[in-house]
Amino acid sequence: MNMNCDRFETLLESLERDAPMAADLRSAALHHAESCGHCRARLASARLLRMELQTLARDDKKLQAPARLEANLLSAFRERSLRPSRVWRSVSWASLAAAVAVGIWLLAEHPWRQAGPPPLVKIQAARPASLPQIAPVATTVKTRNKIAGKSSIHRLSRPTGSRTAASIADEFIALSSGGSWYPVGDGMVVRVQVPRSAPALVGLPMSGGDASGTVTADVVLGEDGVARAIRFVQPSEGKSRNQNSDFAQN
Amino acid sequence: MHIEPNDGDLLRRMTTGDEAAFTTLYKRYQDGIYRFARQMTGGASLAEEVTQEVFLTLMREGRSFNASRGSLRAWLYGVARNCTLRCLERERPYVGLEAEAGEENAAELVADPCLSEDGLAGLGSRETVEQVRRAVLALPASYREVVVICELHELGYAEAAQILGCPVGTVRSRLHRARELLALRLEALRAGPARTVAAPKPCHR
Repeated sequence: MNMNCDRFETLLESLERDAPMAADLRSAALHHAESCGHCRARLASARLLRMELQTLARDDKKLQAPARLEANLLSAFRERSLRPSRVWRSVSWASLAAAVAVGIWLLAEHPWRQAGPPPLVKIQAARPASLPQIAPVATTVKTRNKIAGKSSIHRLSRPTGSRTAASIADEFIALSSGGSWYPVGDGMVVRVQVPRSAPALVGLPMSGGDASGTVTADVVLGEDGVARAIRFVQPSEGKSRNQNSDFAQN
Repeated sequence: MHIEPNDGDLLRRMTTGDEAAFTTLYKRYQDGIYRFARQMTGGASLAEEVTQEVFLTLMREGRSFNASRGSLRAWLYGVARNCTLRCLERERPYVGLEAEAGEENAAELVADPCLSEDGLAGLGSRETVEQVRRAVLALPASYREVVVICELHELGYAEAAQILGCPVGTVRSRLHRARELLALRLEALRAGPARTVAAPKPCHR
Protein backbone atom coordinates (compact mmCIF):
# COMPACT_ATOMS: atom_id res chain seq x y z
CA MET A 1 0.00 0.00 0.00
CA ASN A 2 1.33 3.40 -0.99
CA MET A 3 1.91 5.75 1.92
CA ASN A 4 3.36 9.22 1.89
CA CYS A 5 3.49 12.16 4.29
CA ASP A 6 0.22 13.71 3.04
CA ARG A 7 -1.66 10.44 3.41
CA PHE A 8 -0.07 9.91 6.80
CA GLU A 9 -1.29 13.34 7.93
CA THR A 10 -4.90 12.39 7.18
CA LEU A 11 -4.50 9.27 9.30
CA LEU A 12 -2.71 10.97 12.16
CA GLU A 13 -5.81 11.55 14.30
CA SER A 14 -6.96 7.94 13.99
CA LEU A 15 -3.45 6.68 14.73
CA GLU A 16 -2.93 8.76 17.85
CA ARG A 17 -6.39 7.86 19.17
CA ASP A 18 -5.94 4.20 18.27
CA ALA A 19 -9.24 4.48 16.45
CA PRO A 20 -10.38 1.44 14.48
CA MET A 21 -8.94 1.34 10.96
CA ALA A 22 -8.00 -1.27 8.38
CA ALA A 23 -5.07 -3.33 9.63
CA ASP A 24 -3.07 -2.99 6.42
CA LEU A 25 -3.60 0.78 6.42
CA ARG A 26 -2.41 1.08 10.00
CA SER A 27 0.57 -1.11 9.28
CA ALA A 28 1.53 0.96 6.24
CA ALA A 29 1.21 4.22 8.18
CA LEU A 30 3.33 2.99 11.07
CA HIS A 31 5.89 1.61 8.68
CA HIS A 32 6.03 5.03 7.01
CA ALA A 33 6.54 6.72 10.39
CA GLU A 34 9.50 4.49 11.10
CA SER A 35 11.25 5.66 7.99
CA CYS A 36 10.12 9.33 7.99
CA GLY A 37 11.48 11.48 10.81
CA HIS A 38 8.90 14.24 10.23
CA CYS A 39 5.91 11.93 10.43
CA ARG A 40 7.40 10.05 13.38
CA ALA A 41 7.74 13.35 15.26
CA ARG A 42 4.20 14.33 14.30
CA LEU A 43 2.78 11.11 15.69
CA ALA A 44 4.84 11.33 18.89
CA SER A 45 3.80 14.94 19.39
CA ALA A 46 0.11 14.14 18.80
CA ARG A 47 0.23 11.24 21.28
CA LEU A 48 1.96 13.37 23.88
CA LEU A 49 -0.61 16.14 23.43
CA ARG A 50 -3.41 13.66 23.83
CA MET A 51 -1.92 12.36 27.07
CA GLU A 52 -1.50 15.86 28.38
CA LEU A 53 -5.05 16.82 27.54
CA GLN A 54 -6.31 13.67 29.24
CA THR A 55 -4.30 14.58 32.33
CA LEU A 56 -5.80 18.06 32.33
CA ALA A 57 -9.30 16.62 31.87
CA ARG A 58 -8.77 14.25 34.80
CA ASP A 59 -7.39 17.06 36.94
CA ASP A 60 -10.38 19.26 36.16
CA LYS A 61 -12.89 16.58 37.13
CA LYS A 62 -12.63 17.88 40.66
CA LEU A 63 -14.03 21.26 39.61
CA GLN A 64 -17.55 21.77 40.89
CA ALA A 65 -19.79 24.77 40.98
CA PRO A 66 -19.94 26.18 44.51
CA ALA A 67 -22.77 24.93 46.71
CA ARG A 68 -24.18 28.44 47.11
CA LEU A 69 -24.97 28.47 43.41
CA GLU A 70 -27.34 25.54 43.79
CA ALA A 71 -28.98 27.25 46.75
CA ASN A 72 -29.38 30.48 44.77
CA LEU A 73 -30.86 28.69 41.79
CA LEU A 74 -33.29 26.71 43.92
CA SER A 75 -34.38 29.91 45.54
CA ALA A 76 -34.92 31.44 42.10
CA PHE A 77 -36.83 28.35 41.02
CA ARG A 78 -39.16 28.55 44.02
CA GLU A 79 -39.73 32.23 43.49
CA ARG A 80 -40.47 31.62 39.84
CA SER A 81 -42.92 28.85 40.69
CA LEU A 82 -44.80 31.07 43.10
CA ARG A 83 -44.77 34.16 40.92
CA PRO A 84 -47.92 34.61 38.86
CA SER A 85 -47.49 34.21 35.17
CA ARG A 86 -47.32 37.17 32.82
CA VAL A 87 -51.02 36.68 32.14
CA TRP A 88 -51.92 37.03 35.78
CA ARG A 89 -49.67 40.02 36.22
CA SER A 90 -51.59 41.70 33.44
CA VAL A 91 -54.85 40.62 35.06
CA SER A 92 -53.68 42.27 38.24
CA TRP A 93 -53.12 45.52 36.39
CA ALA A 94 -56.46 45.04 34.66
CA SER A 95 -58.22 44.65 37.99
CA LEU A 96 -56.67 47.83 39.26
CA ALA A 97 -57.70 49.66 36.12
CA ALA A 98 -61.16 48.17 36.38
CA ALA A 99 -61.53 49.31 39.96
CA VAL A 100 -60.70 52.85 38.97
CA ALA A 101 -62.90 52.76 35.88
CA VAL A 102 -65.91 51.34 37.69
CA GLY A 103 -65.54 53.76 40.56
CA ILE A 104 -65.44 56.75 38.25
CA TRP A 105 -68.25 55.42 36.13
CA LEU A 106 -70.54 54.76 39.07
CA LEU A 107 -69.84 58.08 40.69
CA ALA A 108 -70.40 60.00 37.49
CA GLU A 109 -74.18 59.45 37.55
CA HIS A 110 -74.42 57.71 34.28
CA PRO A 111 -77.45 58.60 32.13
CA TRP A 112 -79.13 55.26 32.69
CA ARG A 113 -79.83 56.29 36.28
CA GLN A 114 -82.60 58.50 35.09
CA ALA A 115 -84.04 55.73 32.95
CA GLY A 116 -84.54 53.28 35.81
CA PRO A 117 -82.52 50.35 36.98
CA PRO A 118 -80.10 48.72 34.63
CA PRO A 119 -80.60 45.36 32.98
CA LEU A 120 -79.35 42.30 34.72
CA VAL A 121 -76.92 39.90 33.17
CA LYS A 122 -76.58 36.31 34.18
CA ILE A 123 -72.98 35.22 34.11
CA GLN A 124 -72.21 31.55 33.88
CA ALA A 125 -69.27 30.05 35.68
CA ALA A 126 -68.04 33.35 36.96
CA ARG A 127 -67.55 32.44 40.54
CA PRO A 128 -64.37 34.05 41.79
CA ALA A 129 -62.08 32.50 44.33
CA SER A 130 -61.69 34.26 47.61
CA LEU A 131 -58.80 36.64 47.35
CA PRO A 132 -57.48 39.68 49.15
CA GLN A 133 -58.56 43.14 48.16
CA ILE A 134 -58.03 44.22 44.58
CA ALA A 135 -56.46 40.96 43.69
CA PRO A 136 -57.04 39.26 40.37
CA VAL A 137 -59.67 36.57 40.45
CA ALA A 138 -58.75 33.50 38.51
CA THR A 139 -61.89 33.27 36.51
CA THR A 140 -61.98 33.69 32.78
CA VAL A 141 -65.30 34.20 31.13
CA LYS A 142 -65.37 32.27 27.90
CA THR A 143 -68.08 32.95 25.41
CA ARG A 144 -69.10 30.75 22.59
CA ASN A 145 -70.13 33.53 20.30
CA LYS A 146 -67.99 36.59 20.02
CA ILE A 147 -70.26 38.46 17.65
CA ALA A 148 -71.34 41.75 19.12
CA GLY A 149 -74.61 41.53 20.95
CA LYS A 150 -74.84 37.75 20.73
CA SER A 151 -72.51 36.58 23.41
CA SER A 152 -73.90 33.63 25.25
CA ILE A 153 -73.38 35.19 28.63
CA HIS A 154 -75.57 38.17 27.84
CA ARG A 155 -78.94 36.89 28.74
CA LEU A 156 -80.54 40.09 29.72
CA SER A 157 -83.52 40.45 31.96
CA ARG A 158 -84.96 43.77 32.82
CA PRO A 159 -86.62 43.65 36.22
CA THR A 160 -88.99 46.36 37.19
CA GLY A 161 -89.50 47.95 40.55
CA SER A 162 -87.35 47.24 43.53
CA ARG A 163 -85.62 43.94 43.61
CA THR A 164 -85.45 41.59 46.53
CA ALA A 165 -82.25 40.09 47.79
CA ALA A 166 -83.22 36.70 46.45
CA SER A 167 -84.05 37.99 43.00
CA ILE A 168 -80.68 39.55 42.51
CA ALA A 169 -78.57 36.87 44.06
CA ASP A 170 -75.82 35.57 41.80
CA GLU A 171 -76.65 38.12 39.15
CA PHE A 172 -74.41 40.56 37.41
CA ILE A 173 -75.72 43.98 36.63
CA ALA A 174 -74.86 45.19 33.18
CA LEU A 175 -72.85 48.38 32.94
CA SER A 176 -74.17 49.47 29.59
CA SER A 177 -76.60 52.12 28.56
CA GLY A 178 -79.64 51.64 26.43
CA GLY A 179 -79.27 47.89 26.47
CA SER A 180 -76.60 48.02 23.79
CA TRP A 181 -73.97 45.38 24.37
CA TYR A 182 -70.46 44.79 23.27
CA PRO A 183 -68.94 41.35 23.23
CA VAL A 184 -67.16 40.12 26.31
CA GLY A 185 -65.16 37.63 24.28
CA ASP A 186 -62.42 36.04 26.36
CA GLY A 187 -63.16 38.37 29.17
CA MET A 188 -62.49 37.89 32.83
CA VAL A 189 -63.93 38.61 36.23
CA VAL A 190 -61.89 40.66 38.63
CA ARG A 191 -62.62 41.45 42.24
CA VAL A 192 -62.38 45.10 43.20
CA GLN A 193 -63.30 47.56 45.94
CA VAL A 194 -65.76 50.30 45.10
CA PRO A 195 -67.29 53.09 47.20
CA ARG A 196 -70.17 52.01 49.43
CA SER A 197 -72.44 54.37 47.56
CA ALA A 198 -71.93 52.38 44.36
CA PRO A 199 -74.70 49.80 44.92
CA ALA A 200 -77.23 52.59 45.34
CA LEU A 201 -76.17 54.02 42.00
CA VAL A 202 -77.25 50.86 40.27
CA GLY A 203 -80.52 50.77 42.18
CA LEU A 204 -79.62 48.25 44.84
CA PRO A 205 -80.44 48.52 48.54
CA MET A 206 -77.59 49.60 50.77
CA SER A 207 -77.01 48.03 54.14
CA GLY A 208 -76.15 50.10 57.16
CA GLY A 209 -72.65 50.95 58.25
CA ASP A 210 -69.98 53.48 57.52
CA ALA A 211 -70.98 55.37 54.39
CA SER A 212 -67.42 56.36 53.65
CA GLY A 213 -66.21 52.77 53.36
CA THR A 214 -65.95 50.49 50.38
CA VAL A 215 -67.71 47.34 49.25
CA THR A 216 -66.39 44.37 47.38
CA ALA A 217 -67.59 43.77 43.85
CA ASP A 218 -66.87 41.43 40.96
CA VAL A 219 -66.49 43.18 37.64
CA VAL A 220 -66.75 41.50 34.26
CA LEU A 221 -64.12 42.90 31.90
CA GLY A 222 -64.35 42.46 28.18
CA GLU A 223 -61.38 41.59 26.01
CA ASP A 224 -60.89 45.31 25.48
CA GLY A 225 -60.57 45.90 29.21
CA VAL A 226 -63.89 47.76 29.44
CA ALA A 227 -66.12 46.87 32.41
CA ARG A 228 -69.28 45.08 31.22
CA ALA A 229 -71.09 44.07 34.37
CA ILE A 230 -70.83 44.18 38.12
CA ARG A 231 -72.10 42.29 41.11
CA PHE A 232 -71.63 43.13 44.74
CA VAL A 233 -70.29 40.60 47.14
CA GLN A 234 -71.70 39.73 50.51
CA PRO A 235 -69.36 39.87 53.49
CA SER A 236 -69.55 36.11 53.86
CA GLU A 237 -68.64 35.60 50.28
CA GLY A 238 -65.27 34.85 50.98
CA LYS A 239 -67.01 31.61 51.01
CA SER A 240 -67.86 32.02 47.42
CA ARG A 241 -71.54 32.75 47.41
CA ASN A 242 -72.50 36.20 46.35
CA GLN A 243 -75.60 38.23 46.83
CA ASN A 244 -76.06 41.72 45.69
CA SER A 245 -78.44 42.48 48.49
CA ASP A 246 -76.20 42.85 51.48
CA PHE A 247 -72.77 43.98 50.52
CA ALA A 248 -69.40 43.33 51.92
CA GLN A 249 -68.14 46.33 53.73
CA ASN A 250 -64.54 47.18 54.23
CA MET B 1 -33.78 -1.49 40.45
CA HIS B 2 -33.78 2.29 40.36
CA ILE B 3 -34.08 3.77 36.88
CA GLU B 4 -32.84 7.31 36.38
CA PRO B 5 -35.51 9.50 34.82
CA ASN B 6 -34.56 10.76 31.39
CA ASP B 7 -34.00 14.40 30.57
CA GLY B 8 -37.31 14.77 28.75
CA ASP B 9 -39.34 13.59 31.73
CA LEU B 10 -37.38 15.76 34.12
CA LEU B 11 -37.79 18.78 31.88
CA ARG B 12 -41.54 18.25 31.62
CA ARG B 13 -41.81 17.95 35.37
CA MET B 14 -39.58 20.95 35.88
CA THR B 15 -41.76 23.15 33.70
CA THR B 16 -44.73 22.31 35.92
CA GLY B 17 -42.84 23.54 38.97
CA ASP B 18 -41.33 20.27 40.19
CA GLU B 19 -38.33 21.39 42.22
CA ALA B 20 -36.91 17.88 42.57
CA ALA B 21 -36.82 17.56 38.78
CA PHE B 22 -34.92 20.82 38.47
CA THR B 23 -32.49 19.73 41.18
CA THR B 24 -31.86 16.44 39.40
CA LEU B 25 -31.15 18.23 36.13
CA TYR B 26 -28.88 20.66 37.91
CA LYS B 27 -26.90 17.90 39.60
CA ARG B 28 -26.68 16.01 36.34
CA TYR B 29 -25.20 18.86 34.33
CA GLN B 30 -23.77 21.48 36.64
CA ASP B 31 -20.29 20.01 36.81
CA GLY B 32 -19.91 19.76 33.04
CA ILE B 33 -21.27 23.25 32.46
CA TYR B 34 -19.16 24.75 35.23
CA ARG B 35 -16.01 23.01 33.99
CA PHE B 36 -16.72 24.10 30.43
CA ALA B 37 -17.06 27.71 31.51
CA ARG B 38 -14.02 27.49 33.75
CA GLN B 39 -11.90 25.97 31.01
CA MET B 40 -13.09 28.55 28.54
CA THR B 41 -12.68 31.60 30.76
CA GLY B 42 -9.99 30.49 33.19
CA GLY B 43 -11.84 32.19 36.04
CA ALA B 44 -13.97 30.76 38.82
CA SER B 45 -16.19 33.81 39.15
CA LEU B 46 -16.97 33.96 35.44
CA ALA B 47 -17.62 30.21 35.41
CA GLU B 48 -20.05 30.62 38.28
CA GLU B 49 -21.79 33.45 36.50
CA VAL B 50 -22.11 31.42 33.32
CA THR B 51 -23.40 28.36 35.18
CA GLN B 52 -26.01 30.44 36.93
CA GLU B 53 -27.14 32.00 33.67
CA VAL B 54 -27.38 28.60 31.99
CA PHE B 55 -29.73 27.21 34.63
CA LEU B 56 -31.77 30.39 34.82
CA THR B 57 -32.19 30.08 31.06
CA LEU B 58 -33.30 26.50 31.59
CA MET B 59 -35.97 27.73 34.00
CA ARG B 60 -37.12 30.46 31.64
CA GLU B 61 -36.88 28.70 28.31
CA GLY B 62 -36.79 25.01 29.13
CA ARG B 63 -40.32 24.74 27.77
CA SER B 64 -39.06 25.72 24.32
CA PHE B 65 -36.41 22.99 24.21
CA ASN B 66 -36.94 20.76 21.18
CA ALA B 67 -35.56 17.26 21.63
CA SER B 68 -35.71 16.59 17.90
CA ARG B 69 -32.94 19.14 17.38
CA GLY B 70 -30.48 17.61 19.80
CA SER B 71 -29.88 16.49 23.36
CA LEU B 72 -30.58 18.60 26.40
CA ARG B 73 -26.88 18.37 27.22
CA ALA B 74 -26.01 19.91 23.84
CA TRP B 75 -28.62 22.61 24.39
CA LEU B 76 -27.22 23.47 27.82
CA TYR B 77 -23.66 23.51 26.51
CA GLY B 78 -24.82 25.73 23.66
CA VAL B 79 -26.32 28.19 26.14
CA ALA B 80 -23.13 28.00 28.20
CA ARG B 81 -21.05 28.66 25.12
CA ASN B 82 -23.08 31.76 24.21
CA CYS B 83 -22.92 33.08 27.77
CA THR B 84 -19.21 32.41 27.92
CA LEU B 85 -18.50 34.26 24.71
CA ARG B 86 -20.54 37.21 25.94
CA CYS B 87 -18.64 37.22 29.23
CA LEU B 88 -15.31 37.04 27.46
CA GLU B 89 -16.27 39.88 25.20
CA ARG B 90 -17.37 41.95 28.16
CA GLU B 91 -14.29 41.20 30.25
CA ARG B 92 -11.71 41.44 27.51
CA PRO B 93 -10.78 45.09 28.05
CA TYR B 94 -10.26 44.53 31.78
CA VAL B 95 -8.81 41.08 32.44
CA GLY B 96 -5.96 39.21 30.85
CA LEU B 97 -7.19 35.65 30.64
CA GLU B 98 -3.84 34.10 31.28
CA ALA B 99 -3.12 36.42 34.17
CA GLU B 100 -6.41 35.58 35.84
CA ALA B 101 -6.10 31.88 35.21
CA GLY B 102 -2.51 31.82 36.38
CA GLU B 103 -3.35 33.57 39.61
CA GLU B 104 -6.29 31.36 40.42
CA ASN B 105 -4.51 28.15 39.59
CA ALA B 106 -1.42 29.17 41.55
CA ALA B 107 -3.70 29.89 44.49
CA GLU B 108 -5.18 26.43 44.14
CA LEU B 109 -1.70 24.94 44.05
CA VAL B 110 -0.87 26.51 47.36
CA ALA B 111 -4.24 25.67 48.81
CA ASP B 112 -4.19 22.03 47.78
CA PRO B 113 -0.69 20.57 47.73
CA CYS B 114 -1.90 17.09 48.55
CA LEU B 115 -3.54 16.44 45.21
CA SER B 116 -0.61 14.41 44.02
CA GLU B 117 0.26 11.07 45.56
CA ASP B 118 3.94 11.54 44.98
CA GLY B 119 5.65 14.80 45.98
CA LEU B 120 8.13 15.75 43.28
CA ALA B 121 6.63 13.65 40.52
CA GLY B 122 3.26 15.13 41.43
CA LEU B 123 4.71 18.61 41.29
CA GLY B 124 6.07 17.84 37.82
CA SER B 125 2.76 16.60 36.53
CA ARG B 126 0.96 19.55 38.10
CA GLU B 127 3.31 21.86 36.30
CA THR B 128 2.54 20.05 33.08
CA VAL B 129 -1.16 20.32 33.75
CA GLU B 130 -0.84 24.04 34.31
CA GLN B 131 1.19 24.41 31.14
CA VAL B 132 -1.50 22.65 29.15
CA ARG B 133 -4.18 24.71 30.82
CA ARG B 134 -2.38 27.93 29.91
CA ALA B 135 -1.86 26.73 26.38
CA VAL B 136 -5.57 25.93 26.01
CA LEU B 137 -6.53 29.32 27.43
CA ALA B 138 -4.18 31.04 25.01
CA LEU B 139 -5.99 29.57 21.99
CA PRO B 140 -8.43 31.79 20.10
CA ALA B 141 -11.95 31.17 21.43
CA SER B 142 -13.14 29.36 18.29
CA TYR B 143 -10.33 26.79 18.68
CA ARG B 144 -10.43 26.69 22.43
CA GLU B 145 -14.10 25.74 22.55
CA VAL B 146 -13.61 22.82 20.23
CA VAL B 147 -10.66 21.54 22.26
CA VAL B 148 -12.61 21.88 25.49
CA ILE B 149 -15.67 20.13 24.10
CA CYS B 150 -14.01 17.33 22.13
CA GLU B 151 -10.81 16.72 24.11
CA LEU B 152 -11.50 17.72 27.69
CA HIS B 153 -15.18 16.75 27.80
CA GLU B 154 -14.80 13.98 25.25
CA LEU B 155 -18.07 14.72 23.46
CA GLY B 156 -18.50 13.39 19.95
CA TYR B 157 -18.13 15.49 16.84
CA ALA B 158 -21.86 15.38 16.12
CA GLU B 159 -22.78 16.71 19.55
CA ALA B 160 -20.01 19.30 19.31
CA ALA B 161 -21.49 20.42 16.00
CA GLN B 162 -24.90 20.86 17.68
CA ILE B 163 -23.35 22.89 20.48
CA LEU B 164 -21.35 25.10 18.16
CA GLY B 165 -24.02 25.33 15.51
CA CYS B 166 -21.73 24.33 12.67
CA PRO B 167 -21.21 21.28 10.43
CA VAL B 168 -19.29 18.27 11.70
CA GLY B 169 -16.61 18.92 9.09
CA THR B 170 -15.98 22.34 10.58
CA VAL B 171 -15.57 20.78 14.02
CA ARG B 172 -13.00 18.34 12.62
CA SER B 173 -11.00 20.96 10.80
CA ARG B 174 -11.04 23.38 13.74
CA LEU B 175 -9.96 20.65 16.09
CA HIS B 176 -7.14 19.66 13.78
CA ARG B 177 -5.91 23.23 13.61
CA ALA B 178 -6.39 23.75 17.34
CA ARG B 179 -4.27 20.71 18.13
CA GLU B 180 -1.49 21.99 15.90
CA LEU B 181 -1.56 25.35 17.66
CA LEU B 182 -1.58 23.66 21.06
CA ALA B 183 1.35 21.45 20.21
CA LEU B 184 3.36 24.45 19.03
CA ARG B 185 2.45 26.42 22.11
CA LEU B 186 3.39 23.58 24.45
CA GLU B 187 6.70 23.05 22.69
CA ALA B 188 7.46 26.71 23.19
CA LEU B 189 6.50 26.50 26.86
CA ARG B 190 8.65 23.44 27.40
CA ALA B 191 11.59 25.09 25.70
CA GLY B 192 11.24 28.22 27.86
CA PRO B 193 12.50 28.70 31.43
CA ALA B 194 10.95 26.39 33.98
CA ARG B 195 7.94 27.90 35.65
CA THR B 196 8.31 28.60 39.31
CA VAL B 197 5.63 26.96 41.36
CA ALA B 198 4.52 27.79 44.86
CA ALA B 199 6.13 25.54 47.43
CA PRO B 200 3.71 22.89 48.66
CA LYS B 201 2.60 22.95 52.26
CA PRO B 202 3.05 19.81 54.31
CA CYS B 203 0.53 17.17 53.58
CA HIS B 204 -1.39 16.14 56.65
CA ARG B 205 -3.02 12.97 55.40
